[in-house]
Amino acid sequence: MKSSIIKVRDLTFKYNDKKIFDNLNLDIYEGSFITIFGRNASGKTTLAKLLIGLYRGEGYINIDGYLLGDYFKDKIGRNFSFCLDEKNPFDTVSDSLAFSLESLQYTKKEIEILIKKYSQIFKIENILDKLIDEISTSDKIKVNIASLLIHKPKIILLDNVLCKLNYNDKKLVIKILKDFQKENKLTIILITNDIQDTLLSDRIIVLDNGKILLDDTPKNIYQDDTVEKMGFELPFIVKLSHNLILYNLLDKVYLTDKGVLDKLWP
Amino acid sequence: MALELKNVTYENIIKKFDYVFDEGNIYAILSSSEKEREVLGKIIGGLINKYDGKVKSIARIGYVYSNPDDMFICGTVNEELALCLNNSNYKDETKNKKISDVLKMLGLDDNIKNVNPLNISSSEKRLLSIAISLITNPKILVLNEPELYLDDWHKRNLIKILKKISKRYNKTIIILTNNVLFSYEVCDNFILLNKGEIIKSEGKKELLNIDKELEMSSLKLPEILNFINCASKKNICLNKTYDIKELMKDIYRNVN
Repeated sequence: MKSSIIKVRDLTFKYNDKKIFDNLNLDIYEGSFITIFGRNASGKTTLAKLLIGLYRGEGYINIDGYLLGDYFKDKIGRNFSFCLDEKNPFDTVSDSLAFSLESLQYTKKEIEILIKKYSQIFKIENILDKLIDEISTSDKIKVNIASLLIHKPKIILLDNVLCKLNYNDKKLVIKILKDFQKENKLTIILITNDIQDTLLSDRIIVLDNGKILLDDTPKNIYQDDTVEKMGFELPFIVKLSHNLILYNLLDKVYLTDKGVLDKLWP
Repeated sequence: MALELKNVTYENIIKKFDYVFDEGNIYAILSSSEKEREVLGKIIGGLINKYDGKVKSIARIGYVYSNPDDMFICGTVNEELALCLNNSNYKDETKNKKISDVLKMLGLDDNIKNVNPLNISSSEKRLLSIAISLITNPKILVLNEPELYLDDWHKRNLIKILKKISKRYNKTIIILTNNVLFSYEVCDNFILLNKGEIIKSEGKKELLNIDKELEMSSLKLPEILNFINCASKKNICLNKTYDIKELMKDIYRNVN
């Protein structure tokens, strides 16, 4: 039985007299990797801000057993980390990595060990002493994510930040997130307007004008032309699969290059 | 010739950049290094002045930042655009017309005039940042990662607008990016940088044939080229293309 680590019930939210969400309901399950995909201005970032408590709407949001509101902010904060951009208020990279651990009263020795470990995982050992201002945007994002994961939250939310990583860093960060999902049951919420990212996750939620249009696994969502009919450009391999199916060269949609190639040329 | 860079060198970031940009063309400068893109863009745009080598241009150059928010300093879109015309001798009437014209050129609603630039959508911000540079009618426009944050629809819209600006108004457009697919879709010619040096500069079609150079420069290959490469590892030779229809025909031919 899947357990909901985030429950959104009857969420209604207005911004400047415009209704963004109208009785939205959503469950996010522990240890899952979901992408929330939609166009610019589909409500993705607004939803993110509601989930992290930056905006307040009607209805309720329950995170990890606690009701989102004034009371449990620190209980939730401990377990729900988020990254909305590359901004970082700390001086050096190690300051940023150490902060949450210091707040949680880890010992100096423990902090030293964890900083070493995470800087190796994220390949940022060579910039530990650098000022955040001096490093590239891609490194800033890595530092932010490393600083969030270092205290092992249960949930991490990333809003349109992977696009700012350079190619190799993006591959690395995705691998790290999936390792954490596997080993620590990390719940990953990835918000993106790059449809290729939807292939990374177990579940895709397609948002449009504040409404959930689709909510299913990549395999199911891309099986037919529903997404295409909605006017979205498909991920390449899905588009190719659909074309190959039309030509009777493929029996169903495959989500990887290898899947398609092995089927065409066994 | 609209703009010429002669042996431009800056610290250890840009090395001996030598290139002639012509009128009416769109150029994509590809680099995986944010620093290289930023520095080169600013040298071309005139925001960095202390470099070795020469930058010669026939006219004014407009520079568009990677992050649109960095360009906004006024309370409304109208004020933002009017500010650009402050140093001109235009009457208010003319200024208003120019503002409406540039908004229209970029597909922005006239109603956006009264909104705070920080409160408009990310795609509108991108278009406004271009409007700000365009309203003073520069012959050359330099854009740093204009496709970032845009969804597919808005990306395609931006490509249409940039092509219109370059062809109809004979402007030179220089785009700095790490997005190979976007470059192919928008540019006429590309310049590939690796460790601050130009390693390739050709017409856009050549982007199909330089996998090794792109990988060496830490740039992501578009998914379609990746697929074609995976096929060649299985000894299936598919023609390199960015067109999925062409690829389909080729696959059909190759399947026994």
